[in-house]
Amino acid sequence: MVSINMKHVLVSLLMTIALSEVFGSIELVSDQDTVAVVMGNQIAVKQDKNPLNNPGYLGLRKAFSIIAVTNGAGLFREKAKYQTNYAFVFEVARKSSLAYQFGYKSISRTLDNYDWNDYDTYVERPTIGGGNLKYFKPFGEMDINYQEFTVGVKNYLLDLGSTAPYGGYLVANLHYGLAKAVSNNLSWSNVNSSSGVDTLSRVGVAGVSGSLVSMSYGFGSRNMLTDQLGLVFEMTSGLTLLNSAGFSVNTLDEYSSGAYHGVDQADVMRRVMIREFHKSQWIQLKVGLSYLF
Amino acid sequence: MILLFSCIASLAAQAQNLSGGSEIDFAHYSGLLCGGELPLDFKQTSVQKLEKQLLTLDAKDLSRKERNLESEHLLRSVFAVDEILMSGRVLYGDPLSDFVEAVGLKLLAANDREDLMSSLRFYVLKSNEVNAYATSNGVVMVTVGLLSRIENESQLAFILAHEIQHYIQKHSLQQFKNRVKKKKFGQASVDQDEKLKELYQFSKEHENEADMKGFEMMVKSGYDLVEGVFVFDMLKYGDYPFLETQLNLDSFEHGDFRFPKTLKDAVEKQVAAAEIEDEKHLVALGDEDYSTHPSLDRRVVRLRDMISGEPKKDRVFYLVGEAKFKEMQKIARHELLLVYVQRADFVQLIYLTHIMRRLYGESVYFDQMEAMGLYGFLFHKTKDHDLNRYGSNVASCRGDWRALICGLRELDVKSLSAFTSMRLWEIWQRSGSEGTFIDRVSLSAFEIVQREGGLRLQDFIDYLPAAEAAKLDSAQAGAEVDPKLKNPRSRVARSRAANVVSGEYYMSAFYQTPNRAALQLFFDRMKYTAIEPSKETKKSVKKTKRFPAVKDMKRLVMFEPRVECVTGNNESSSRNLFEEQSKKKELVQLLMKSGRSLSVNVDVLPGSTGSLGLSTERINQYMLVNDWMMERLNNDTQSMLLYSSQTVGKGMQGKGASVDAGTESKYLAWSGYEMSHLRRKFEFKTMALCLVLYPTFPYYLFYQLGSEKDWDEFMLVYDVSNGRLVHVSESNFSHKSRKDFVKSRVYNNLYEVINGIN
Repeated sequence: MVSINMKHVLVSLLMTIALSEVFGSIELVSDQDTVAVVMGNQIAVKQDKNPLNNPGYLGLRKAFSIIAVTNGAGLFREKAKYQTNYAFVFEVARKSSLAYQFGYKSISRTLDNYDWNDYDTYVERPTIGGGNLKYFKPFGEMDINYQEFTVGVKNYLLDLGSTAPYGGYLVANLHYGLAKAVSNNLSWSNVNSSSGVDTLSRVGVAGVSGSLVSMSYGFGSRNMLTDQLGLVFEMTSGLTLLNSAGFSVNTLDEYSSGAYHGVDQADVMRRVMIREFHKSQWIQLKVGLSYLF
Repeated sequence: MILLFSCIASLAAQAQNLSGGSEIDFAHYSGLLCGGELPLDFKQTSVQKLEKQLLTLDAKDLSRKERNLESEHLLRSVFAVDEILMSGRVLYGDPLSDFVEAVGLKLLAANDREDLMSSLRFYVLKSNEVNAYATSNGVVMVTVGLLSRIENESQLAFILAHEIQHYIQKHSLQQFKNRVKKKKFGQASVDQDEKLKELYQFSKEHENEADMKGFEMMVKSGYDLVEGVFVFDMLKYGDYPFLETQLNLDSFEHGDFRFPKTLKDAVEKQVAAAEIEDEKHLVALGDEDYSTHPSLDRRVVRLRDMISGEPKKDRVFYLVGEAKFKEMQKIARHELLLVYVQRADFVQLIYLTHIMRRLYGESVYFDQMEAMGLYGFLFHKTKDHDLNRYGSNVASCRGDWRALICGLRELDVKSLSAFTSMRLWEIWQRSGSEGTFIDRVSLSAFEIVQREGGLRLQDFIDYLPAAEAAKLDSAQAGAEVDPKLKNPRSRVARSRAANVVSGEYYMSAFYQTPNRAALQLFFDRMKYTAIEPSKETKKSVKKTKRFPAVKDMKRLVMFEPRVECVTGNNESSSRNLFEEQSKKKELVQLLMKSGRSLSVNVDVLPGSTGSLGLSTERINQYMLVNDWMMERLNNDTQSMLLYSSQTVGKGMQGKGASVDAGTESKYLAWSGYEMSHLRRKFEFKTMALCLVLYPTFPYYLFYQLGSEKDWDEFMLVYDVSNGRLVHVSESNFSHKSRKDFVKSRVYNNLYEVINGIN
């Protein structure tokens, strides 16, 4: 008795049926509904003078992050170097898919003989009487510092369920960097002289500074540990657009170029330093802690 | 005004009566609600119930295999039954379920099965189907459709005895084991309906056993045995009306208002063709080989054999009492009309109101129901919707209501409009007055009559039959020309013009109506004036297609979200019911928390999580809101007046003291989340290929160890004051349902409701 009409009872449970329609990707609203909803917008147009706000993450639309940046530097050299620094980033969401960020980062590095060898940049001096050119190579270490100010745009991927400042994103940054040598103990000797007597005098770091305008791009994500604290993962690389030393820092061109070497010690130090901060030589892996507010 | 006041007062009185179990005001019937203390079935969550029942399994001496089978069966049945219990359609502590329980207890007492009195629970399901079932957990459910059909207590006792035997004999478990043995399950069904079907579809042997042992219970109980035979008849004719009467287009003819013969012939032809199909259906029901179930005819034969073997002695139709039964039957039949209106089965509703009038006399309630039926059918007809969905499926509606269904379907929009107008006028004369529900329905219906049907109400009044018009013409030809007649705006000229242009039979619907002055007043009230949207509005509609912000939302009533968690691999997946329950609980909390952040009081109606402190009051509120939702979903349109709009406000009020005074409760949301996490199937060939092409192996590993994640969500928000959808959103992401992601989605869903979406 039971089973004969069982299906009729069950079929009449409309909530379940309607649910399966929704999950079955059958049109969510009937035609009649849709038409009427569109008509309902007559009121909406008047109401919504302001653009739609972003829900953010639980209503939080700003984030302050401290990010540990592992710099993989010198990717075109024989031995890449890694160093970790810290960056501070303030991010503000504009739309669900868009956020601006403003960052500051300071990097301190020490250039050593590996770097001088890898960059292969010398002081080029003519010989008296018109013989072969002499090349003076630096030996020793030089401490450099780089301070970078960043303005960036993040495109949060709505298709992945992200909402700025939460979730996965693509990022593009514009950087203005100030590089300067802090100290050095470099000695300069002729690479062709076996005696080691033919040297240039040691110089200080005066004038060994420069600025770079570069951009970087990459992807990342921010996941939340609590309602306000989140973890950021990001990977970026980039390229340098301008530098104050006035030469191209494109690595491939530079190695075959006659203008590769410097005219004096400071020039060599500056060129190597600026190339060191050249973006296309870097990959940056970032892990950070964000505070949303 | 006085009438309105008395109407409201009677509704309030009825609400009190329902919970108090006093007399019901049938003239203003407003539906059953649960009463008394909340049963344990509603207090505990599915997980709690399962844990408790698993403990009883531990006490049994079962082999590991047996234990696994039984626990799997428990898992399936507990969750599936809870889904029904919490569907907002199950009644307890009301006059119907009280009566069913009383009969059930009489049966058990007579059979010395007091031990079952506490383990069996009797409920009533608000469904028009003719059915009853007992679950393996001891829940016995009887439908309103069945209660409205049974003719005496003995028939109900026969049904209950049968169902109780299914429970005692553990047929559900046996059936489950048989299926596992035969490996008949295949892929686990995600659909709860299918799950229940699997669990409670018994074999021929089980049905026969339940018949036999149920009969033994009946013998001991003292109930009349022959009534069992009529129960099988009742099941056989379950698709027919519970009482039949000749109701077709002829029934509505009067005076000059006659439907054309061609129309009636066409209707008769359709009915005759459908009746041939009926015969086939009935033959199929009697064919044992046709179905997995024993045929009803054979069961009747077996029952007759059993009855003849019993010594004749005095048996009774009623043990609980005839008067109580009649009262219960009357309530069930009144309730049945509500079920039909929720199902949007409008023609069946019209038919049943005529039956009810004949049984119980005139009533405002019946008038409301007929008005709703007429309005609903006209609405969907003019919108060119599939009428099979609105109670007029000729194939599935068997029996005498078919003549009315075919007749109304055959009418074109104009004639149906005229027919509806005529019936509404009759209803209005009996029960209508300004401000009542009948008034609201009439206004809505007459708007359609004029806007979609293209009929002018004044033309009905001005109508003259052709013969009368000819007489008038000849009289006017001999008379001096009245200058007024030359005026095309004059009443007579207009009426004659209308008569010539639209002199169809349906225009005579109001001809010779005695109370023409009242009719004129009625038409004046029902007059519809179209409002053209301004150019600016038209432009703005074209510009944007986004849902508007609901800035005035202070309170949002929500159904507990529907959650589906699917796990497994992409070849064989199944719902993780435990995870679903915990996720549901988490989602409810998140919705409420997000609401607080957004300054909206989110009131989640009770559901299977049991996290909100259920009470009978809350269940009743849920039921009222659910009724509205069912009606809204079944009608699938937002420009229609709903019957349950009268009672939904009470359901939207929220938990007594927690409701802010003066806060408008008109927004109702329904959301759902589906999350799946499927492992990728291991394929040896792919791995071998990647090993040969070894540089690709890391990518292969990454792919193989990863999983397919999916997150589906939807949210619908209705304005219950007018039935309109104010928000619809649906999204799908390939994302794991991590906690922060879930939080974000839930918050965003609510945010989008309040602020609108592009």
